[in-house]
Amino acid sequence: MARVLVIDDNIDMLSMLKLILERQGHHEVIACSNGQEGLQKAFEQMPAVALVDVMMPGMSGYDVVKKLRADERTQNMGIIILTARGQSVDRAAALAAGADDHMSKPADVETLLKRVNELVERGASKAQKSEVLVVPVLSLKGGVGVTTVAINLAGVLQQVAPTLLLDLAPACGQCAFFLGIRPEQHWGQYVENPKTSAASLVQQHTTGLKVLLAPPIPAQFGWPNKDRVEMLLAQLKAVTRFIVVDMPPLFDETVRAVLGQAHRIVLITGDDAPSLQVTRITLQALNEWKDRLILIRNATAVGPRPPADALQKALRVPLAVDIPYDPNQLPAVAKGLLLASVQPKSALTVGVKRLAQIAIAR
Amino acid sequence: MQRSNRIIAEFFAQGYRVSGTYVVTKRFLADEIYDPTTNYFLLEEAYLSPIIDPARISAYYTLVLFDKSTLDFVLTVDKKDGLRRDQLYGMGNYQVPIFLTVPFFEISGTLFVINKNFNPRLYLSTEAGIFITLVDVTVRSTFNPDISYQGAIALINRAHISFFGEKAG
Repeated sequence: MARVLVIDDNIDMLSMLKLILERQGHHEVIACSNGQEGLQKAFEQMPAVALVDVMMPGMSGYDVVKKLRADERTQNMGIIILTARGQSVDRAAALAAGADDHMSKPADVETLLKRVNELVERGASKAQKSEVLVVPVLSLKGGVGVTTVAINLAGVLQQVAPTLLLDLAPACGQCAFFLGIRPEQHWGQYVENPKTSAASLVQQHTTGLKVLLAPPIPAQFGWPNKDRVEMLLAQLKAVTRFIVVDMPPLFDETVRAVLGQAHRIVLITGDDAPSLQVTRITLQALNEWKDRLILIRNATAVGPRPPADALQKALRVPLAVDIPYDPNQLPAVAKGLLLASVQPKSALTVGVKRLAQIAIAR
Repeated sequence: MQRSNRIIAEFFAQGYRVSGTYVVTKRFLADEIYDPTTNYFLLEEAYLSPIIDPARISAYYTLVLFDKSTLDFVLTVDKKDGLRRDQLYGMGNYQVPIFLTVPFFEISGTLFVINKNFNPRLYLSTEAGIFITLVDVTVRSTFNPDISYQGAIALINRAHISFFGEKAG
């Protein structure tokens, strides 16, 4: 199952394609009736494949394809032009604009699904071959929602490409609890026996998200040193496209080794005085990676909050995303659900999606 | 996919390619085109391209009225979309490969006729109808022969034909 974007101004055609892709293709469909809306949805939700009509008022399908290819977030997306203009000149124009394929309407349903599935598979294998993005989520102060942001960020990225969530808590990591997975396998077993394949310890959430959990019992397993954690990451990179790391509130050589491999580092701050103080110190400690830093604020309680401007002034770093308190998160945790999957429009999900866009684009 | 009552066809006239939607309500597209008692033809959602750059959409109109006498030809991808109602029951027993020209285009295809001995002059001068129907059509742009169009049916304006002949071989 993949996320497929369909852009067509003909409402009947849009409904029919949605029906076919959902019922027969088992894909999740984002339906848009014009190019502008389609582009917006593509950048927000990063589907695996887009089916684009050519003849649409306002923005033609060719312009949509060119804009998708020009943006870093969607440049590798599979794109099929599906149009009533089925001449060889139209095919050439579609391919020149950047589409992967061109199909004439009315299209044969089986052929259409076959082409969509081929592009989904191609995207997945391309993603596996390309560079793996490591995104640690960090705060040296507890209680700011590191695990909440990490698991939902992983959930959002999973909708784009295969993603692995690594819970790097020294013990009693919370990812297992948040996702409703029993921590039968965890990286502690890899630390104990380096001959164990790290990939064999990976478990899977119902959303398809791969998870490598932390040891459930404190002090039973050792804390990996720098070399061991680097080997662990190297093995995990072979099985995924994105690695989101739920980081412990530590700053030792192991943590530094992970940060050294990170493409982006998500630093979470709260807005109370102790939080701000810790964030300011952490920013100094992370100075060597400042070009990779994404600073976000995550509210973990209801109540008044200082304005973002004041926070930015105090920290002297721009806030990339400001996530408000989301009352839906706790009930989701109680059910072992990923909020980003079950409530795509909730405040937390919207904030995390924005974070995912920045993490991929920067 | 299911056929709808909306036919998308290509209309070529005076150096333009127009892809537009004809809504089949009472009459088929070809019946409407062939009708000698009407001068105009209504299209919905028409996308206009110059024939020198036929993939580029230069204009869009929600409704367009065509003067049928200005049309060079109409091309449909699906055979059923381009036939008159009476032609669904038969188009003639003999097939003649035809080559003809209209402004800016060379068209080749198959003409269905009733008489075994085909005479181009006799055909053009005696057959009724302001358009003629060709089947399995290839259209080439005169000034850019690399640009070609394929269609199941072409409805060609008889008055715009300059050269008309049986294709050799």
